[in-house]
Amino acid sequence: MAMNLEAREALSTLILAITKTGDLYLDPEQVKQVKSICKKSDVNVRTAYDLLMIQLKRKHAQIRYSSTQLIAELFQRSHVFRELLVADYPIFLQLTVGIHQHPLPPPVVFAEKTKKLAISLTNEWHAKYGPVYKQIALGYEFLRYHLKVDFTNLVPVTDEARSAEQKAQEELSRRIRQRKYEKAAVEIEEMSDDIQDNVRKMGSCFDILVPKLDDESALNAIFGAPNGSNNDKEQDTQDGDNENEDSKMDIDDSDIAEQEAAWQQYDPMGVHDNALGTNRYKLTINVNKDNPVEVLESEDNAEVFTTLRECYRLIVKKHWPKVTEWMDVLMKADHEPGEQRAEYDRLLKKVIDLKKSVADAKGKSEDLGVNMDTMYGPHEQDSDEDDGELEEVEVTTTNSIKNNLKSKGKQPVKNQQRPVLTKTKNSVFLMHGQDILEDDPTYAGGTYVTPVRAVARPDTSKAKDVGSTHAPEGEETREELLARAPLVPWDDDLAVWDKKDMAFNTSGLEYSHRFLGVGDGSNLVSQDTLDRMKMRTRIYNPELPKEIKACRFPMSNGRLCMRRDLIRCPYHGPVVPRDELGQIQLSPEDGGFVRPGEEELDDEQEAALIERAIAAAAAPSSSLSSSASSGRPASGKAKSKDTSTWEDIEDDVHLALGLEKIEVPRKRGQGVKKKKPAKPPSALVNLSKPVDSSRARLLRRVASKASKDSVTQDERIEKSSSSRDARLNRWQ
Amino acid sequence: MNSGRTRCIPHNKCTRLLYQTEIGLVRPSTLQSHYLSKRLLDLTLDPSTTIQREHVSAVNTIDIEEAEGRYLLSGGGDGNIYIYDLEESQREERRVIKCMAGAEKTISGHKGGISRVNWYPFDNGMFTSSSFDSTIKVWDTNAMEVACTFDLENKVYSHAISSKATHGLIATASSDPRIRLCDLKTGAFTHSLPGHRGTVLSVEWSPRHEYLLASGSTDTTVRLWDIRKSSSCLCSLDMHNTNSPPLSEANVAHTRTVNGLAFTPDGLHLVSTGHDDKMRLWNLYTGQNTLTNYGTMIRNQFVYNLTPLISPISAGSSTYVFYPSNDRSILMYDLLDGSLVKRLTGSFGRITALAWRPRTQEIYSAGNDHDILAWGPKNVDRDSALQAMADQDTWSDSD
Repeated sequence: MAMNLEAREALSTLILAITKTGDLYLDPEQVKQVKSICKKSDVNVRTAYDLLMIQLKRKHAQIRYSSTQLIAELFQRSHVFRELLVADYPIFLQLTVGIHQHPLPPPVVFAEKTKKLAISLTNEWHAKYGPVYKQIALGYEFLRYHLKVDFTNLVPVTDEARSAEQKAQEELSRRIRQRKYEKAAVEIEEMSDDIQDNVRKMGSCFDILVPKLDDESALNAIFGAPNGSNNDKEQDTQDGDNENEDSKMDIDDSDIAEQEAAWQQYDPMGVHDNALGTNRYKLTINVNKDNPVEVLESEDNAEVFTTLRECYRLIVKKHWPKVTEWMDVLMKADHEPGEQRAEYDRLLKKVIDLKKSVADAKGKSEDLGVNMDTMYGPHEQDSDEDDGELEEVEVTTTNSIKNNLKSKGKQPVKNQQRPVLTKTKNSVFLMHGQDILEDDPTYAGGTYVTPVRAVARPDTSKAKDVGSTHAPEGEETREELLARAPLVPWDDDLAVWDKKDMAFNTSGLEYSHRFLGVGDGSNLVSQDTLDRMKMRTRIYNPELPKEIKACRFPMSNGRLCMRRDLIRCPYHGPVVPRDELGQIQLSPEDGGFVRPGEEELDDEQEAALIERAIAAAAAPSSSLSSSASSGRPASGKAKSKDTSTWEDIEDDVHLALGLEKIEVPRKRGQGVKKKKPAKPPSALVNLSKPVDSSRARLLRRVASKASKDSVTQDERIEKSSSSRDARLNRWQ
Repeated sequence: MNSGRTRCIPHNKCTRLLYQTEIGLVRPSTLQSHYLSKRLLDLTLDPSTTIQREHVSAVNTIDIEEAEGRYLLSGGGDGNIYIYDLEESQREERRVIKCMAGAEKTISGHKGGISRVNWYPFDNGMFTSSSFDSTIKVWDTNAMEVACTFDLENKVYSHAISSKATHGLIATASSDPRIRLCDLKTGAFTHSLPGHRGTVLSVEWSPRHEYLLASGSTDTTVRLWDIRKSSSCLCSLDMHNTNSPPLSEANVAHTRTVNGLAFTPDGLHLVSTGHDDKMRLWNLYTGQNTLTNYGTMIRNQFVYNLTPLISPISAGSSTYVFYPSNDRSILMYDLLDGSLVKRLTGSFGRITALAWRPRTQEIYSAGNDHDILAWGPKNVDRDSALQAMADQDTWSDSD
C-alpha cells in the first residue's frame, strides 16, 4: 500500500496540534479526525504510531500526557496499533511510568498524571489483552512486583472499563434489591398475622370505647334518653362533646321518669326533648375537627386504655416502620413477568392492605388521645426509653419544654416563660445602650424613676399637670403628645432641653465668689451657655450599603462583569441596573437609569453621594470636600460618565482632596492601535524558563554587580590597610 | 501419469515440501532445516507460557540439559539454584512452569551470587555452578546437595565443561589471570594456564576438539589453548588479521574487555563479544577474523559473562546468533552475513543469559528483573477466541 502523503501530512499536523495544546482533555473533534484517518488504512496507523512515539519521547510531561491519551484511544481501536505498541511496551512504560531509571520530565503535576494514566491503562489492557499480549502481562507484573504498584481502586480510564464497572455496579445493586425482596417476602408471611392480630385487638378496644353509629343501644343512650342537659337550657349541640357515656351515669332513673311525665303535659311536640320546636328544622352538627371523639379515661375503662396503649406502642415502634419498609422494598424490587410476578402482586396487595389497616388503627387511637406523647400512660410523661443520662445532663429548660409539649391539651399549661417586662418607663428617656443591655442576662432592668415631667412641646408651659389625663380644652392630651414626641437616645441635653433659663445655684444659700465678691444679682446661667448645653454631640456614621451591586457590563468573552463597586466600575463606568444580557434598563419617563429598589438619584444627588463617600474615606473632618463639591459642575461629570476609567476615579478623589489632577503622558498611538488577534494560547508550561528557586534568588542577590563591587571594595580596603599595618610595624 | 503428479503438487510451500519429501524429490534434512528456519523466524514472546518467579534477585544464568532437553537450571544473584521441568503442563493451553527443586541458601550452598550453572553434558544427575563467592560446586541433582567444592580464592565469572571430551575437566574463568582446570575425577586442580593479563570473563571448550579451549579476558584478548601442551597457549586472536606471530602482544580481539565466547555447534567458528559493542566471528581453521559486520545495535557494558547463543547448524539454511543486548532486547543476527534478522523485545529486564531448547525450537532468557521468559515460535492454534478478539479492529462507525 502506497504511503499517502496527504494523510501523513494531516496526521502529523493533527497529532502535533493535539499533543501541544497541553490541555487536560483532548479535543474530541481532533481525536475523531485522527481516528477517521487511521481507519482508512493500516499504513496510516503505522504513521500515527511513529508520530505518537516521537511526541511521547519529548521531554515535557504535558505532551506525554496528551500523547498517552491519544495512544489509549487508538490502542482500543486498531489491531495494528496494538501490535506496534505491544512490541515497544517496555519503552512505552519507560516514557509514561518512568521505569528503568527514566524519570519523567517536568511539570511534576502532569508527570504524576501521566504515570497514573499509564498504570490504569496497563491494568485495563492487562485484564483485556493480557492473555494474548505477553508484553502487557509482563509489564503489569513488572509494575506490580518491582514498583509495588497497587492496582486496586484504580479509576477506569477507557470507556469499556468504565461501562463494565457501571454494569457491575448495577448488577450488584440489583442483587441487593433481590435479596431484600426475598427477605421482605418471608417477613411479610411471618409477621402479617401478628400485625393483623394487633389491629384486630385495637379494633375491639375502639368498639368498647367509642359507640358505633349502627349500635342501637349506644345511640339511644346518647340521643334517645333524656339526660342531664334537660335541666338547664343551654344547648351544647355545637360541639358534640356531650356524647360520652360517663356523663349520663349520675342521673337518677326515677327522677327522669317523673320529669318526663311532667314535660309530656305541656310539651307535646317534644320541644324540650329535641331542643327544637319543630321536626322540620335542619340540624347541623359540627364535629370538632381537632378532637372528634373525646373519651376521657376513667377507672372503668382504664384497662381498655392500657391495652390500647400497648397495641399502639407496638404499632408505632414496630409494625408501622416495618410495613413502610416492606412497601419501599416492594416498590423498588424488579418484577419480571411470570410466576414471580404473580407472587409479587399478591405480596404487594397484602402489604397495601396491611398498611391501610395499620394506618387506620393508628389514626383512630390518636383520635382517642393515645398518641406518641401519651403512649406510656396519661400521667407519667417520661418514657422509659427516652430519658437516660442525656436527660440529666441537659439543663432544665429542655425538661420544661418537653413538659410543655407533652401536656398539650391535657394538662394546664404552666406559664414557663419569664414574665415580659412591661414598659413602664418613659421611652423618651431611653438609656443609652439600653437595647444592648437588655440582651445581657445580668441586667435587671435598672431602677426606674417614675417620670415626673410630662413630655411637652417646647412652646407649652412647663407647669403642666403630670397626673392629669384630662387635658384642658383645646390642648392636646398627654397621650397625643407622647405619640408625637420624638424618640431620642439619652444625653445630657435632655436635662435642659426645655429650660429657658437656669439658675446655677439652687441651694438657696447666698455665697459669693472669693475674689470677685458678690455678683450682679442674676445667678442664672447665661443664655449662651444654656444654648450650648442644649446641643448634643453626634457622630456621623455613614451607612455602607449592605449589598453592592455587580457591574454586569457585557464583556467580550460573553460574560457579565462581576466587579462590585459602589458607584462606578473602573472599567465600565457607573454601575447602572442591567438586565440578564447586560443591556441597560431604561426608566420609562426620562430615559435615565433607574436603580431598582432605590430612589432615583439625579446627578446632583449622585455627585453629593460620591463626594460624601470619598470624604468619609479620605478625611472625615475635612470641610474642604463639601465646599469643593458645591463648586463642581454637574455637566462635566455627565460627560465623563461614558469614558470613565481609573483616571476618572483618580480625578474624583484628587479633586475631592483638593489635589492637582495627574496628567498621564499617553503613549503615541495608544487607543488607536488594535490588539492582534491572539493565537489560542497553548497550556504547555514553558520548561525553558528558569525556575525561580531559592538558589536562583540568592544568586540574583549575591551575584549582582553592586554586591560584587562592594565585596571587591572591602577586599581592597582590607588589603591596603594590612599593607599599611605591615609598614607600620616595620621599625627598621 | 507424470503430468498428473505435477498437476497436483500443492502451491503452498510447506505442503509442497512435505509432498516432495514424501516422493523423494528433496532430502528429509532439507525439510527439517526449512521448518527450523521458519520457526526461528517466527520467534516471539510465548504468551501462553509463564515460568514462575522464584529468584528474589536477578537471574544470572540458565542452562537446559542436552540429554532430554527438558530440565532448566537457573542460578540467581541471590545464590539460589532452581530446576524447572519444561514439560510440565505441556498440553495445557496456559502453561505455568513451576519450580521442581531448588537449593536455597543451604549451608553447603553458595554464599554469593551465582555466575554460571552448567549441566553435566552426559548425565542429568549432576550439574556444576560457579559463584562470586570464589567457589565452584558440583551438585547431585537428585538430592540437590553439593557433591564437591573447588575453592578458587577468586571471584569466578564463568566455567565450562566440554560436551565432547571424556577428560572431565572444568575450565574456570576468575579474576585470577590464570585459567585453572578442575578435575571432576579427582576433585583437584590439574592445570593452571598462564597467559592472560587481566580477569578472565569467559571460557569455552570446543565442541570439535576435546582439548581445545578458548578464553576471553579484560585484557581484550581471546586466547586458544591446547591443554595437552606444556606451553599450552596456541594463539591470541587478532582482530586486524595482521601477520604478527600468534602469541604477539599486539594481538587483540576487541578494543575493550572481552566478556563472551561461543563456539558454533560444528566447532568451526568462534563468536566473541566485547565491551566495544561489537561481536566478532573467528574462523578457527585459520584463526582469523572473518570481518563480519553485525552492525551497531549491540549494547554491552557490564563486567559479566555474556554468552551469545547460536542456533543449530543445518545444511541449506542460515545459522542464527542471538545476542542478549543490554537494551533489554535480544538481537537475532544471521551468523555468516551479519544481517540483523529480528529484534526480540518485550523483556522488562536486562537479559543476562539465553538457553536453547532444541526439541521445540524455543529460547529461554534470564533477566535481571528476576524473571525467566520463554520465547517460542508463534503458535497459531492456541486460544483462538482470545486471539480473534485481539486481532479485531474496532473502529466505531462514527469515526
